[in-house]
Amino acid sequence: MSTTGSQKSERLINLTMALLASRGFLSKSEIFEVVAGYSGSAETKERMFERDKNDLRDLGLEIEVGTDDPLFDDEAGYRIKPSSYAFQPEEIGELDPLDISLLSLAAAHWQNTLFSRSGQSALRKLESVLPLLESESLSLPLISQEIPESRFESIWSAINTDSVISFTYRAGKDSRRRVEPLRMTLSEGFWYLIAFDLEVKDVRRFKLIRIGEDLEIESTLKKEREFNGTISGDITADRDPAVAIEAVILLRVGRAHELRHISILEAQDSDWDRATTRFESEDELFEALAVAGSSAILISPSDSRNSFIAWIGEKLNV
Amino acid sequence: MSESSLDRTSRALDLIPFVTNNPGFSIAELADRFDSTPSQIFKDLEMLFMCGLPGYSHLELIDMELSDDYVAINNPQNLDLPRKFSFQEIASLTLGLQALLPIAQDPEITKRITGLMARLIAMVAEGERTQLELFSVQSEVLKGEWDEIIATAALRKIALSIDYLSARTDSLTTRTIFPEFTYGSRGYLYTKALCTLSGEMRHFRHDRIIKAQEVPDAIRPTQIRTSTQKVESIRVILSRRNLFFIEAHPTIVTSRAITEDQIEVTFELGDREWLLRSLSSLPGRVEVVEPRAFREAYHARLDAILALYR
Repeated sequence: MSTTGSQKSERLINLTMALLASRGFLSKSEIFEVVAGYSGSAETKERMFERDKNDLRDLGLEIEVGTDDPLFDDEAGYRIKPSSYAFQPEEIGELDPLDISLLSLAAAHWQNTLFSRSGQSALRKLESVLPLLESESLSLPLISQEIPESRFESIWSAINTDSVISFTYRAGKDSRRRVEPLRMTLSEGFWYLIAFDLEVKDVRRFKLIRIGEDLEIESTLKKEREFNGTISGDITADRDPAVAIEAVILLRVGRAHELRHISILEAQDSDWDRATTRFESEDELFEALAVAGSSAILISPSDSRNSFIAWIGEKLNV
Repeated sequence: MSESSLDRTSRALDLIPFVTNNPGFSIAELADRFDSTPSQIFKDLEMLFMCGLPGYSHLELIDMELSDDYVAINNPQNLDLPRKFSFQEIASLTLGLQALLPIAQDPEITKRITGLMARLIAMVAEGERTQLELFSVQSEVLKGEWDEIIATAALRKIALSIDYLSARTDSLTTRTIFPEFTYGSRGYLYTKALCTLSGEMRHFRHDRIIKAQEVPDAIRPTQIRTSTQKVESIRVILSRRNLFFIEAHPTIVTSRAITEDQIEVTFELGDREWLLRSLSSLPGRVEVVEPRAFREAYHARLDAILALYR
């Protein structure tokens, strides 16, 4: 951090303290006179103050603008109301060790991301108003997840500012998408963007990890849209549509334990057992058979058996 | 990366009430707490020596005691309380709590989680509440019969005897494990535990645990072995529909190039059996480029499957 940067931080803190301490509105001239750090020509000080004011607002501080006597056309002044600045413990109420553990786990959920920093800073704020937080040992698991951070932050910001975004989407093939973000959801360890696709004019779900680094937030604001939760096309799907299959499979005795675990079994002969298992799709059946390798033979359905033989054959012929 | 003056101001504004209410932390401890470096925290505190209310006499400046191993603020002036929670801070905790809901088994915990969520949401300005509803977390995991006994063992630091279906070796084994912690990933629960069978730290998927029971008198090995598996680099070409596979296993992918219709990917891992089995179960094109020995093993595996149907 440069000396200039350090001086700026010092000035911002002094300004915050002065605006908080003032009972009435402080005019710019009063600020330049009493707050340490403002120097140079009138124009320089004016520019410094405008930037400082915006910076404090970026930090979430509410700077009120007004005059102490509305009957007179006085120069506008500034103040920060203590009630709008300070977090009061009553806002969240009493917290016991179990609550603290749950909040700590909630903050830990985000693992090195924008949300993780926010969660940790929230915990520190709690620790600033409560006696040092005792937590209770809990046995809840942590859920790991994939967060492509730069895109997550951009999309988070686009949703909060109602902006249209465009990006290259890398699924079965690359395509350029221009969408109005509607919401974000975390499912099975992956974040998804649900958005109104402006080209296909319908709601689509996009896996965040497949959104290219070339994501652009446009200045165009999105239209007000009703979203009833229905997504008509799921372009994140990697599988063919599911059609349930009941399969009969021979399993080598003492092998193919994963399939045995989910099957109804009966002995066939000394080498093989006969397993009946239900699969949600042919993809799922083929995956289970391939994982079992030479310890499983599909008997029926015969169509699936023929397809599986062709499926393996194609892999060999690459 | 150098931080902005705004980041530094934000941290300093948080430091003042924290140190005021928790005197006695060392600089290193504060650095740890604030995800910063000791030298940066020292600079922040030095800067705060110069901050105060207009007038800036010794009565108006922030009054602080500062040494390497002891920091205290005796008079924070009007910064004794932290700033209000930001929308992002509340969103982080609320969505984190939402993620805990599906995995909480105890009704009391569930009640506490929903209560905390309601208290946090009430802290959000009314206009921002609808914004919060635009984000949701679904962290459902497949629940297993033995989840609770495993969680209790991890908490009480006791051993378990488990019957485990190993997908790697296609075998059912009984082993004693010392659970460390449980985590959820891609819809499954896993426990990281010291396995006495291998002497190594291993990850056990809960739905593959067929039976589990406590072994209170088991003695934990003092030595933990590191994996002896040789790490191999394996180059493969996959069709684009297999993108999900490399997304699901980012830690073993060392390079990937995505073209119009294929993905060329290099995996680096020690468990070649797992990769052989996984690749053979992927749909679409799977071509092992190198090393040759792995390509031959992959083809031999497929040949052996096909031979069953001849």
